[in-house]
Amino acid sequence: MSRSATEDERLLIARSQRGDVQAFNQLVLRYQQLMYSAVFRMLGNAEVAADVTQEAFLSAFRAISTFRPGSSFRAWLLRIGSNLACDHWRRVQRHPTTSLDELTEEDAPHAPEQLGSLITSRQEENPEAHVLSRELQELIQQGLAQLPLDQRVAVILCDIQGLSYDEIAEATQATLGTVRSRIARGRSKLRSYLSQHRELLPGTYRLSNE
Amino acid sequence: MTHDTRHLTTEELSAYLDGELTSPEQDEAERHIQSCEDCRQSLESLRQTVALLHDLPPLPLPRSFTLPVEEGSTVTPVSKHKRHLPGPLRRSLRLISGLAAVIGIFFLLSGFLTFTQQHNSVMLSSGERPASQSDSSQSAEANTPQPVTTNNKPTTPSLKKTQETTHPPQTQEPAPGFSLLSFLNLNTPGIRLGVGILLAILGGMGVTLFKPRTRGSP
Repeated sequence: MSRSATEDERLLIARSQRGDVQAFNQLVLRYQQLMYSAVFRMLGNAEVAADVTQEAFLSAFRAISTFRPGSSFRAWLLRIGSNLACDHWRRVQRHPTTSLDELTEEDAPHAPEQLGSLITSRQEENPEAHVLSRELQELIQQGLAQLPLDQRVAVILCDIQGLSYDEIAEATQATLGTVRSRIARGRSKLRSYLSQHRELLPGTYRLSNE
Repeated sequence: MTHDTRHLTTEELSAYLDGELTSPEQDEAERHIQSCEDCRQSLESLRQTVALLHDLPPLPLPRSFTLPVEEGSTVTPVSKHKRHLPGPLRRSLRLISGLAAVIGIFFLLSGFLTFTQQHNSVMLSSGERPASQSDSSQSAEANTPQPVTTNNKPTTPSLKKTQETTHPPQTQEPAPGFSLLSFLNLNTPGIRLGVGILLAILGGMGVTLFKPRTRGSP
């Protein structure tokens, strides 16, 4: 982010801390893609992810005065989002009869359609971009769902959202060593999972099974 | 060379991929990877896993998540008010309010009881025993100088009070000055009733106001 953009963000945060919703909404517009995408990858369901994202931004606005200027705002936002997503995941695990259908990988009805429509739209936008097949995207999503929650969050924040180890440590309130270990274990498990479905992987990907 | 033959752990390979090893570690890992086919393959497969995650396309947003302006304006003041009262403070304030309410109810009850008791005794003394009443007033008058000379402060008001509360049917004098003085006197049942009601109401309000929060903010 350029210097003027960070300065702009700092001002928007300061205005939000004085209760200015419109200023906060500017921040929402900047970060909603990041937040929604992270929450969706953690939960695997579009509808639930939308609800959790909305709740996360509302909580963030309520708690904005606790944000320390100078630290990473996106890490702070994602901390709220991932906490809410994890709470939701655990709640569903505890009461499987209520809404497990929503989150089980096998019959998540919204995800495939959404991912399918996504591929075409992306191809139209940028035909040169390497686009993963719909099946492969679903496979990766299923692989993520197999990971323990802490590893899943760390891998998503690192490899999908592109946060630094420091930011992930801030977002998950863990030490750098813990973050490093969670990312490594998560990646390793995901590699094993994907290597069981070699037929779906592109020819260039040759995952060795360890 | 024994150091070079030790295979790198997945954690080391993963951190190496992100450039998160210290620079001597990074150099050492690089040397090892160049000489070790196993670690090179492992690193490559890890790199490909990361590449797959990286290649996931951004998801289309189902809607915008901006907050409604009018909702936001109601959200902030409430949250600010709550933030000034963290959990432990809320709990202790609630406890104090509860105690105040209990003390208030205690005052209320004791004030009510003594009020009815005194009312009965006044009825009795004025109606049935005029002779003994005059006796007691005389003895009370005889007693009054004693506390003054001994300078015993705590007993003076109580003695005056017993003297005066037994008097009303016969003498008119204590009315205005006495009520002013006894405004802060908790020994008077009426005042005790009033203070009791006040404490009970304030305590009850405090208990409901400082209810523990059900939802924690992050």
